[in-house]
Amino acid sequence: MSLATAGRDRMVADRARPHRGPARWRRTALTGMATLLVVTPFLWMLSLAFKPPTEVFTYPPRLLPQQPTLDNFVYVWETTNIPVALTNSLVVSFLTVLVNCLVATAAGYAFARVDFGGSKLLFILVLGSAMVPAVVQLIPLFLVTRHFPLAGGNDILGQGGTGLLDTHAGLLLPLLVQPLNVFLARQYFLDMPDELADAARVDGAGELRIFWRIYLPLGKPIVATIAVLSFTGAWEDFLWPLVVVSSPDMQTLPLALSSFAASGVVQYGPLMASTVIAIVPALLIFLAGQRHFVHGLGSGGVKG
Amino acid sequence: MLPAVAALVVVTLLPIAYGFYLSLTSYNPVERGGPRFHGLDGYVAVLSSGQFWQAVLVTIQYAAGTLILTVPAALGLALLVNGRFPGVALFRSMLFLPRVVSLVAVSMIWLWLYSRDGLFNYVLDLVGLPPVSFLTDEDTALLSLILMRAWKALGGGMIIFLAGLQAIPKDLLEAAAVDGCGRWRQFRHVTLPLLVPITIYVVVVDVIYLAQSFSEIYILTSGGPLSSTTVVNMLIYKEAFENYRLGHASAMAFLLFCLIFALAYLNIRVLSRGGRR
Amino acid sequence: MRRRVTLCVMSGIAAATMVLTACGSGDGAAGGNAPGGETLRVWFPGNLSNEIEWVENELVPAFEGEHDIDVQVEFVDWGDLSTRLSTAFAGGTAPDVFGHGTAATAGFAANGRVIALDDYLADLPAEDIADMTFLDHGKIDGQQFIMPLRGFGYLLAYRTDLFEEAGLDPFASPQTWDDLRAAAEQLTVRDGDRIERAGVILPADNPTSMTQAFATFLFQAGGSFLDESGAKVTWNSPEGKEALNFLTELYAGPDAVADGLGEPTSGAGAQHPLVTGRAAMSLIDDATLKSIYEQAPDVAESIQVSAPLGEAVTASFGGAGNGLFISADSKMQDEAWAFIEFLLEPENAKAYVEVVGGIPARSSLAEDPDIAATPYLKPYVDAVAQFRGNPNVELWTQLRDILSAQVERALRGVTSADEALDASAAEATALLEQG
Repeated sequence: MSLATAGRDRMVADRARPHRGPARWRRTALTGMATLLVVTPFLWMLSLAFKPPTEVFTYPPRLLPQQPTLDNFVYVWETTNIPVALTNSLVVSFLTVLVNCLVATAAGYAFARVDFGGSKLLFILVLGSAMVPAVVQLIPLFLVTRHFPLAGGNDILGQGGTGLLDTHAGLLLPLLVQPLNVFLARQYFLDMPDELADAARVDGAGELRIFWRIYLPLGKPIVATIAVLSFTGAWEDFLWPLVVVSSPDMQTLPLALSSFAASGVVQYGPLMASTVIAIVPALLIFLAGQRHFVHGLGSGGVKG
Repeated sequence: MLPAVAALVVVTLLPIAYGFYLSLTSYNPVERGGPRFHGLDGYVAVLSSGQFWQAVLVTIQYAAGTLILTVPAALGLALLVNGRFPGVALFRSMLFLPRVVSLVAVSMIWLWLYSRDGLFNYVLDLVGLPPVSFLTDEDTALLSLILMRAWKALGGGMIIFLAGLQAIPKDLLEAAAVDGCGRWRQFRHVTLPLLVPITIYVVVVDVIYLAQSFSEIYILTSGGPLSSTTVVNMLIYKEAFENYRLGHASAMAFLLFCLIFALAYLNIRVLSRGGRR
Repeated sequence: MRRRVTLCVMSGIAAATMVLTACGSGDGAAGGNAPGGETLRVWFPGNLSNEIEWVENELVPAFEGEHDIDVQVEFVDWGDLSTRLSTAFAGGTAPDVFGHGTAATAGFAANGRVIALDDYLADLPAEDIADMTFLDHGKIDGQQFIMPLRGFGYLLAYRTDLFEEAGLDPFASPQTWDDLRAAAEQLTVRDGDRIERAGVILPADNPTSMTQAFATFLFQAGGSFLDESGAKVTWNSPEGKEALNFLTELYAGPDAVADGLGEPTSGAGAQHPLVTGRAAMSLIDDATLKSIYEQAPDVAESIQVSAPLGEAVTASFGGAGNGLFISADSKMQDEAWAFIEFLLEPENAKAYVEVVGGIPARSSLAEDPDIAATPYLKPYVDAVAQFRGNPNVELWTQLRDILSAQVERALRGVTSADEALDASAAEATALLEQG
């Protein structure tokens, strides 16, 4: 335990020391300008969410609605499938985060720090699997899901029922292990000092223990990053839910959202209102994850 | 470990293996009787089509263009918000925003930003410049897509660089400072080399994603004008789901896989050599 | 030990692939109706909220009340339809009834995915069949495979206020190509070399819609895409070249009267160039016109729609829009037909187009006072006899893509109209011969 704390104190980034005086504010101003540039398109999305249909895309462009309205939100919340979709997306995304944080970090650690037979090949296979376009995997994955043994009325050979089609488990299936998270964790653990493990090994600790007690606590920023990335990955996934979901009860947010941008008629107000709603959980996850970045900095400032 | 391996096999490697088998067939899901094996015919057909090579070129331009814009900008932003100053938490979240906004909604907004009566042309008009047909002119369409995609990718790159910066041991930088290194030399000789693994990650992942781009292009240009934005994945999608030639599309997909793999490998080699120097 | 894991992985993949291969090829036998039973599963194409509302809250309850059949409807957006159908065919989970555009008919019919409906049709009274619009557009070799639910078409719309501004008579709409060109020249407003307001624009969002615009003029010139047999390309006939040359001249050079290639027009509503004043005339389809009426009612008041132009022939591109198929694997084909028949009953056919737009599936509705009073429907209903659609051949979408790419090149001035048509015809002929 003492090793772990010692390690964490070493792992504090350069600019941890708070800036003082005008330098602080100069940085605030600079970052503020960069931020403004980045969020401009988003400001327009926000504005559309509060505009009545008559004000959508006037010329010259006007950022502030003349008659701001909550109608889009009320419409989306009360008459569309967005609330159901929000629940489904939350369930699927949280489970995705949970599994990815556990599996991806462990696998990434193993690939980075444990030399085992075939590890290189397996790693290349895992990484390579992310490079095969989703379109190709669609039908095979659909068949796997449909013929999943002992689910949805299927027998042990996967015949007779609908398998995991149109279920949360089916939605979750391809999200469980996201190869790129494994890759991210590997890259992160790759540049961690070896001495920590060596010291522990001298003390007789096993590999799992070393990972769990020493490196994982040091890897908080990366766990947070994986959580954020796998959440947004699941949150945005469109193609797979499209084919696996068939009832409104199982719809996820991207599916429900796309109905406002349907071919022919785009309902900008409701589209942007539900986009804003969809952003909230993702942003909360980010804020929760960012605590760990800040925490890393803070603990260094206090204890270091 | 075993359940993880099992999941990995079932949900990633198995569908790919089956997809590879399909690439050796003339599979059309509308036809009865399933896939018909025809060996490498599909690959030969794809490799001898000018359309495919044109799309390969566009894909490389798109991925490279976006990367060149994103990576330095994301690193810059990460350095900027890696510290404690008033408003930093807010700025980080705001900068991350584009990453979490639905791609469909983002594309719809950019469609308007770029349109004849959109924000960009309005600004051009304000400063007295003639309007630009951003998305409908074959000379500017790809560039416009790149700009939008770089914007979308910025936040994701930023937080990964941020995580990387957090992993840099403080004493190394302090030692460098004691040795009389200025901020730039500290960055160049300590921070940057230590960021190499994470930069590899950012670049490789972006290459993987960018080379498989589809939705935003579909919404903004549908591959036009004059196929100037038709990337390989767009061809794949059209072959698979407009012409129902899934075998053919799978062959294209595995060729795209080879391209991505080559690009990723190239990046890893170049970057890790750069880091060792 | 790790090596063993890798080995397990490999053999696992191999084994499972073989199982999958078996599943994939046995699709028909394994599949049929999705297990789960006596519910009729229907896929509607599109994602319009008022259509969804009407189907789910009115049509389906009314049908279930009359027939004691449970119906489960799912709406699939046009862009996603092929993706869904591909996986459903592969997995044997296709719905009993599914909607699609008529362009897909030949492919589905040739592969036995959908059934011929002639036996069902034979039970209908003759006057009922005669009343149905565009029924012929759903026939392959004389057999009916798809039942059109509504039609669509392209007509010339123009702004009467801009006509007056330019000194043109707003009640004398162009009748011939020469009229069109002359009016367009008078209506075009230039700022130096740049067109401020186009005299006329074509549907040109993408190559496919450009080809639909070309089709309109091809038919007016007396040409056709393919010959009667459907095996020979005829779009590069002298009529075809005359048509495409007329169109490219609209866009070319200092005398251009049209612009905006690639800019969104389809369903653009308040952003349509007719509304923003960027164009004075536009070849426009019924759905886009409807979107203008809904989103910009003020401007819509000054929009007039003219009858199809007549050059050699008075015609325009249009015909059956979406229709319904019955899946060949369905175990509820009779119930499926009952649903389609119900939807085509005059009052439902009327309610459907009132909600969704388009030309009603029954020609008798032309006299219906509500339809006649709808300004974005009436001109299209009146022009039903002049609308002609795509050839119903299996490779059509691929042939069209070949043509579209070249039509775009011609309109953008990269190649001449004649070369574009000859080159695409050669490529298309090669594809047709290949099978």
